[in-house]
Amino acid sequence: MKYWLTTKLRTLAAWGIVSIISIHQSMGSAVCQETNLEKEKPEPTVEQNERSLIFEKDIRPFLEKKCVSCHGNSKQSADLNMASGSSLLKGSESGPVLVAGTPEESRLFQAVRDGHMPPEGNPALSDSEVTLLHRWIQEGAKFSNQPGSSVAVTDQQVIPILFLRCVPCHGGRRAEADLDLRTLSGILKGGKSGTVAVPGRPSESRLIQRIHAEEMPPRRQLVSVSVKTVESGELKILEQWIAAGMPKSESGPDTATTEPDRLVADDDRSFWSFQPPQLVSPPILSDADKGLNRIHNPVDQFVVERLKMAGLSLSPEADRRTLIRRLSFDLLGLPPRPEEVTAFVSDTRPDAYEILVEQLLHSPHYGERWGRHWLDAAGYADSEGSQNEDRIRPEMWRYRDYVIRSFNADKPYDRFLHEQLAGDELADYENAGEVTQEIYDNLVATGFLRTAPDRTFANITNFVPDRLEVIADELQILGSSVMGLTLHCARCHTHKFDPIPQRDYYRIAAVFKDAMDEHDWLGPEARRLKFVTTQERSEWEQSEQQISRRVEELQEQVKATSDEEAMKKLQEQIRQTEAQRRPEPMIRALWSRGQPSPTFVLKRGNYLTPGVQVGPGVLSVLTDGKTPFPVQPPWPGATTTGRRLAFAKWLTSENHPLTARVMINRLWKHHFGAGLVKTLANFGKTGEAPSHPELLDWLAREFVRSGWSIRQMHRLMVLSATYRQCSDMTTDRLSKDPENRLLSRMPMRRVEAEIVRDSLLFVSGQLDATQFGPPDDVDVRADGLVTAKGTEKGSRRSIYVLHRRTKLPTILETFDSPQMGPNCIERGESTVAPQALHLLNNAVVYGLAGKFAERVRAEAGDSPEERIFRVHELAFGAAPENDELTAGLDAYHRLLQQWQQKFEDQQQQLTEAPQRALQNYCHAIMNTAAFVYVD
Amino acid sequence: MSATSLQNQDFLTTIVSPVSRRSAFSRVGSALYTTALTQLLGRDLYAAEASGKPHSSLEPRAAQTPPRARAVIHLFMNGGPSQMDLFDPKEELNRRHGEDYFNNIAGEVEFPEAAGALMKSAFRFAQRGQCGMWVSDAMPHFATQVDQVSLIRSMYSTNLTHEPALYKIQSGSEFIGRPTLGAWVSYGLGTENQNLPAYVVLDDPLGLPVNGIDNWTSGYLPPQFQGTRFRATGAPVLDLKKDFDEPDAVTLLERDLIARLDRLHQNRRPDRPQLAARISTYELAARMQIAATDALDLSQETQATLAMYGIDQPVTESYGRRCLIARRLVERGVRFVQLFINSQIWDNHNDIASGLKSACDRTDKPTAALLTDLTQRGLLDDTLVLWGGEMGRLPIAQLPGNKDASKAGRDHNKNAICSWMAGGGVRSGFVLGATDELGFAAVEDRVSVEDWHATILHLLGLHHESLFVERNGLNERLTGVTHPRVVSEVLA
Repeated sequence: MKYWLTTKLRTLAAWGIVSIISIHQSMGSAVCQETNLEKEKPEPTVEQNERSLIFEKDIRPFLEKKCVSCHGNSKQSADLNMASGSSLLKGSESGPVLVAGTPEESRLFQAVRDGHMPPEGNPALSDSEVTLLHRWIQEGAKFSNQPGSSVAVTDQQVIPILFLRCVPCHGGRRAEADLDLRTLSGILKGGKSGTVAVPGRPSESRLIQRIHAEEMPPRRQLVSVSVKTVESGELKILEQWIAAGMPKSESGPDTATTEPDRLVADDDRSFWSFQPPQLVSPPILSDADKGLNRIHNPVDQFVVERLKMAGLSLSPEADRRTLIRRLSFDLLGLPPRPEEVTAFVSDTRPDAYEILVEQLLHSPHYGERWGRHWLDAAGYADSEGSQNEDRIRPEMWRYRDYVIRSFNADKPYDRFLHEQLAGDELADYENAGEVTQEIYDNLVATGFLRTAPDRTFANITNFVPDRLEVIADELQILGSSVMGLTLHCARCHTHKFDPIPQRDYYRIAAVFKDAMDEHDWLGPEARRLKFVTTQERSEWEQSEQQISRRVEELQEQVKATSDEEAMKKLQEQIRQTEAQRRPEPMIRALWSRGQPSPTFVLKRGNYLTPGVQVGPGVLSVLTDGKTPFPVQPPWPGATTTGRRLAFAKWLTSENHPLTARVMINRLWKHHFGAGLVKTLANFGKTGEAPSHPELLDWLAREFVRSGWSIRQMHRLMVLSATYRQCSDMTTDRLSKDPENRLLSRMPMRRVEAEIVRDSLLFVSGQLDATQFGPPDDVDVRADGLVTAKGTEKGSRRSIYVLHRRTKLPTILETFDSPQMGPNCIERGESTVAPQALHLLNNAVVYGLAGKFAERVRAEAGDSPEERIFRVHELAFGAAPENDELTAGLDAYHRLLQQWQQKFEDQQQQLTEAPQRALQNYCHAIMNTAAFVYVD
Repeated sequence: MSATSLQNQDFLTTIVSPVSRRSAFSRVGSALYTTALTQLLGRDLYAAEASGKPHSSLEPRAAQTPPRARAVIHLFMNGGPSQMDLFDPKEELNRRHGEDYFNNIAGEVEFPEAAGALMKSAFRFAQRGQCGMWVSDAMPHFATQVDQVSLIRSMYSTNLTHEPALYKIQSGSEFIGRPTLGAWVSYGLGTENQNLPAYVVLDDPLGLPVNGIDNWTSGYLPPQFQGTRFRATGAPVLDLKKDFDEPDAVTLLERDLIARLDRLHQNRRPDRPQLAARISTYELAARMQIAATDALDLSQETQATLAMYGIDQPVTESYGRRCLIARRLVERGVRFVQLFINSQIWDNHNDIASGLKSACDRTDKPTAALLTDLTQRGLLDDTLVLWGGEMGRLPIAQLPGNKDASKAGRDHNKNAICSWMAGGGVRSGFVLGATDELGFAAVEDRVSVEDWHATILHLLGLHHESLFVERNGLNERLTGVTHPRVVSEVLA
């Protein structure tokens, strides 16, 4: 703002309106400055006071000065053009801005009065101008040539009403009475009782008659088809349209053309994140700096260069025990085993660290850790939420598995996105002879757009606004996770800070319309396809057949026997065999349904006030503004539109300003504790500027160059000297880099909820490493305690526990496992008493401490010292320090004493007391800060 | 004895003789609420937070404007109490009883197939108290308290289904995942007793309300602002007591070991405030154990008090207990207490004549006792008591399967809701707003859910626009992007 003001004032100064000196003197208060400038404005003249005001004469002059640069012929923010009377009367994306006679209801006046317009940093209207505007509207908003206000009603206003009130029964899927009201031709054709609309004669049109008579939509069936009655304003539009002869609109849907965009100007595109990542080379460092900082790769060059400017260098490298523990938690979400620690500490190979990183990056647990980050961004849950019942989403786990496998396979990120946004458009799954793993993956991946809370499974919560909310959530997930934009802000109006017109939001909605259509809605239960892999299907079929055969055999035996006892036994066997049947395997997916309904901009986000029709497209600000959005069916004869695939390809085009940067930033955040852009989901103007813009751009380009390899990006990050720093704090670093934005050290971090639980299981030897498949159920106690059910081998990792929105395991919830609303871009990290209470008092944790103690007794010698050593090695990957050992032994002996006192039986004193004391010791260790904080 | 256990001992003595709430306020109060300077500081604090993540501290925070109330007891009547059977008598409805009306309101009915004709109330109304407020004979006890309350007859909501309507009344949005009123209040004001949660939920031992724990979620705010469920029996708070058997001496030794190891760990890592914070949570956990147990110990109350709340009678025992606990919590500086009833006793789709009566029988006497008790103890002056549900009911009948009109109930209605508030800063003996002649929709002085929220925040010294957190590019507020009004008519 300051910059803007200075330039603007310079311009004015050049005109001689103010002198440069006075500018500098008054820079302290921008407000004062503007007021001074206003002095040139005339007060309303006597002449003006005596006659009624006229737009051209009295209003337009100051609108031209203060509004038209954004709302004029060349640029029309919010689709509003104030250059002429007729264009002003057309209104904005939100509808009319003038209500003649009532300034208080005129959005033009409201925006000025409330100080929203002109936006902050631009000269405001003077008091006298505001008064003039108010008076002009109050006097009836007169123009010298009253522009024609007859905005003819066309099918564009009528079609959305019919979709809302009639099409559920008289449309494509359900043409009751052979009537299809989706298009003008369908309306003209009529139904089995003949024509429904007579051009020019509304009162003779059955369409109008039946609505008037309150017969349509049928009142008693409203809820069963999730429709509401026609509102009086809507009926009026229908009548006007028929009276006018049912004219068809001359313009088609609004899409990008080769004409320059009116709503987004080139200067809007100049903001850093709307420009492609710059081509930058890593700064060149002197040999001394290289040596001092142990430079490993270009990442370090960028970081060190920046540190040098602040008079800092990288912190010393952390010791190997710290490094392996850090890497292990970071890449796998589990602590290292003591053997692994010892091996790494004593590994003398020069590339021991690199070898370790490769091992970890290829561990099957890697995908479980990094897949979890993606599931947060995608808003993964195993239930629908949003209704008391919180229904289970039975097949959602397949998406979770897909994500884990994709990370483990280092699936290129561009492909990863193509699959998740348009997997159904990548291969013709319906006509494929065999459902291969690839086709299966394509379809399961689309679960990405099926994660939002969704209550539309019940008729009463399946009205159009309910569906629109689900769509909005999915678009918010897309915007925040993949695009790093607050796209959802443009749902109700043009984005307040970023150049995202409301039109662009609805163009994107149109991209997804053939799969998420509020007028052709698939309820949650219908979102399932039978395309599991041919292999899985045939295995299931065989198993079902076997069961059937077995049952038949048993039934034959039943027929053959007359002995009642034997019969009972057989019946029981039949029951048991039948119980082995599994439901038909299905996948939950999103796919094109063929004919999308037309998309209209919803004024102020309200489904009752549709505006102009738009076609599919992308964000104008991320293009040159004069390139049409190329959409074509993905293969000849495809029933799908190809819109989403075109969108996915645009997102992953080589020079896309955001996609690579946003993903790089997410990876960086999870490795280093904070993003290079701190606001992970907001790369827009209100987001934070990157701490290391060149590094971000360099990494983004490397990402694309590497073939979008996430693993390669991990290597660049964790192999850097920056990552290998210790987390020690010094006064110097604290004062020069208080928030660690310069990366002068590694941050100490608390592990996430899943790691807390998984580590507890891991150290006590109770982690069942079985991967994939349906989630493990939870137990819910009356007081609200939720615990994951175990397996035969212990308990599986938290990512495999049922994520029912209302029944999240208490330990996960307590340690900030997120509420998906609709997704979670960045988790909170709280430090609260319930965490302590849970770890201290929960029976499961206490039981795990017992298992931990058992394990220690089995693995270590008999002396308390040896056991305490082992506990520390298992829990922390290091032997206890002397003071820790002293404290530990002291406590152990006292604990033992207490237990010996408690047991009267001598045998118990001998065997059980040491066990219980060790269990207490292990339990204490599980409660220490060192167990949940990583250096 | 070790340092930690000694500390615990100290807390024990402090808590056994609790500082009265009043003196606690005067300690905090004079420092926090009186000078303009601290007001400014308070504002600055919010402004500083506007740029970053939400804070996560439960320390008491200065209100933004001088507060009229310092604590809230929300008697939540889940299910939708029938306004025309309790507070809003309709002559015209009596007159037109039996007339067909369904087609006029077809889009506003949840069960169109069961919709019957206009139905008069089965209850008799009379004017009560000095103020002459109309209350039906279903609530004889509340009828004695009308001079303390402001009744709003003109509230309305935006969805006629329980789940969305519940999300709306609790969190301002019809959709899941937003922080509830109690969470926002705790976020904005912190709490005065650090040994108890800021926001306590007293749910019904018989079962959770519809939407379950979502009713008190902190949504996208940090989890410490979510409602903590207190149980009247057993361990009052989840995980508050050992869920396994071991001698207390052992427990103390173990805690001592944790503390010692944590301090050694911390000493090697200077300048890491997270570690100090974590150590303090373990200390707080120990204090909470004592404070929560004490707050729930009703044996400290007299027989007369117990009887006043109806704790000596089976039908009122459960709700009475929770009302009394609510008073004890507010007395101890808990910021927000919310009472729920199992499932939906006010959701009288069938046989409203008996169903509504039984809901009143369970709650009427304890509710009146709470108002009386708070008044007697001088607590009502700065405690805001709220009563109401998420929706109202329709003037037409909802018929059972056999169409027996004598067993009819009423379907949901989002267009007219009655609710009342009393206490800190609220005008007494006052009725606001009116519905149409049949009681179908609020028509005069309409109060939206957002208006209601803004008014509650106002009474607590918070402003709905300045209480926000930045999230994904939006300043998220309880009242969203709406422009609600503080319902000044109900302010004292």
